Amino acid sequence: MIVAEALKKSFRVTTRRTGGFSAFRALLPGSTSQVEAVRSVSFSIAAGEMVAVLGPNGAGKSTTIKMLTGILVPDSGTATTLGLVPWQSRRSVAKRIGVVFGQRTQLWWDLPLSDSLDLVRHMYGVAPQRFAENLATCRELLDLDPFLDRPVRQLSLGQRMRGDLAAALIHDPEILFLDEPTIGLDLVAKARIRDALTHLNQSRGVTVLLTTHDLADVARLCQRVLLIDHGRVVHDGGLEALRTQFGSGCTLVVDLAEPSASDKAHRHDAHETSERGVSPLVVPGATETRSEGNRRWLAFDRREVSASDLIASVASRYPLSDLTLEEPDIETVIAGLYASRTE
Amino acid sequence: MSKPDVFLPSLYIRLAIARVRGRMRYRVGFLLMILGVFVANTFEFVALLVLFGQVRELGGWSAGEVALLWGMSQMSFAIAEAFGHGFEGLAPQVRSGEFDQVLVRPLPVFFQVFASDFQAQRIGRFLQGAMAVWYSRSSPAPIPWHASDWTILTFAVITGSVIFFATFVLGGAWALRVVDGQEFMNTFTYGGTTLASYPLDLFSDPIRRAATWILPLAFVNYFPALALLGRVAPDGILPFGLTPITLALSAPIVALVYLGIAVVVWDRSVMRYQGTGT
Repeated sequence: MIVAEALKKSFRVTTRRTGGFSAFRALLPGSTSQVEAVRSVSFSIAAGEMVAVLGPNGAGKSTTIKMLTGILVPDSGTATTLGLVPWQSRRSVAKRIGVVFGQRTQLWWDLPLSDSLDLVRHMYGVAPQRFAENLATCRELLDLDPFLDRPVRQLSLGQRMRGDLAAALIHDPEILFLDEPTIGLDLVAKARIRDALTHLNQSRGVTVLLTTHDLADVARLCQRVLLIDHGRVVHDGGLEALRTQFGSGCTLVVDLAEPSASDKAHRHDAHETSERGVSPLVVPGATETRSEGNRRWLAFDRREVSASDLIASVASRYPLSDLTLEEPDIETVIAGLYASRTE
Repeated sequence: MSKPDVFLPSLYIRLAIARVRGRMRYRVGFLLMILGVFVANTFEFVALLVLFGQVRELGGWSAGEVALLWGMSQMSFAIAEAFGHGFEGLAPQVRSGEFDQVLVRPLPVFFQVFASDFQAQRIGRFLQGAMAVWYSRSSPAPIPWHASDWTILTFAVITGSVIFFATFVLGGAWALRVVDGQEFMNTFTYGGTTLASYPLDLFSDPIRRAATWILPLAFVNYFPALALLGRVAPDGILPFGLTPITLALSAPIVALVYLGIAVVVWDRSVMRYQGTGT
């Protein structure tokens, strides 16, 4: 469906000049620098897959999508979308793919949504019968009816996004490219978009490639994650694999049992001050990172000590009333990854 | 996979109507916009008349004769703006990335930009230009307005609008290359109308040459106006010593060549945009 091989793309970035005649001065040489947006991106996506592209801002996600949809021509490398080279067969590819940019709209701002969809129909030359069927599907799937006759400028962001998705579906695309489709949406609106995408993927077999910063999107939708950073694919696999690969650091939170009265008396006898009572827990393989009253946080690396061993050794040394194991959430894992790579 | 054909002319009309309907949703605003364009232009024209309140002639041109030039250039420019505004308003779209949307649709890029912003409100400028042409009756030697005169006028206005339109296309091509170069392009579009509002023989030689050979403004109204008014041009201003009537009639060829060049430059700019992603 989609194959990318060693795609490379760099941009010349013009250093902004301010002051008079900036338009002329921008033409002068020496004011530009080369930025490598995509260094070497390779992957292949089979029909019916739903793949998320993750990565920090400026990692090259959008640029990759722009090359696969024929907007941009790479400096080197090859790609095929539906068996065609997208930048060489731009219009043929465009007929068979749907593209939604979450940050912009392709709808007519001043017209009712229904008029926009009708215009899109004419731009793609969709037959009336097929249009009626697809519109009916979209109305149901995306719940368009409450705002179908309202001008796009009056729609909420969530409604507008549903409208944009509908506009991308009018011509039965085989692949959907979505650049941050849930950006800025509330939870309900996000859930709606996700449900619609799942439905399209499962019942119509539409291949979906989406970029996002929302890991809940990924967890709900995609079996496969492409993590792009500094213009390269640094991970290609499941979300869980990402966690095990990069997120082995866990935290054990323990609540110490209130020392009994006799214990207190015993400790006083041993000339221990009450301050000494908050001394850090000492457990092999873990370090205390935080303490709050009787609650302590112990950080450990799963590759060095298993959770059960750690719990056993804590329990043998200290009186416990409760404990919880905190696995790193995927956000933390990825935030850590981004931070470590963005030097 | 069937390939349903899209008939571009009817699609253009559909998109143009959509554009007008979108604006008509704010009916008062739309009408005020037409009125605003009309009034702003009228002020410009009044300023011209005030000038002629002080001087009887401008380089041998009477108020009515200059009004003819002015009106013709305004009518041409109004048509060009109505059809070419998609190209004129391209810079912010390139900057915001909206232009990318155009590249994922299965239609020619030129067509999409051309059809993206039909501006019916430019009728305000057109009407004002027509009134200026009407005013030119007051000149000492009024145009008799035979059928041949009407033909020359109609030809000139359409030709002129193609020339201005091509300039907008070049401006759009420029926007794809230099994102913040809008003001620079305005020099040629709006500056062009201003230049074309006055008799070319008032200007110095380099400007005359530029307005004949580079940005063919002289063909918009100057040569046709000479033909209409039966005026004799100063020496050396008419290319190859051709008569104003011959020049007026050859203007459509010049306009089409100029448009052809603009389209080629446009196509190359789109390719360059895809290559560099500005």
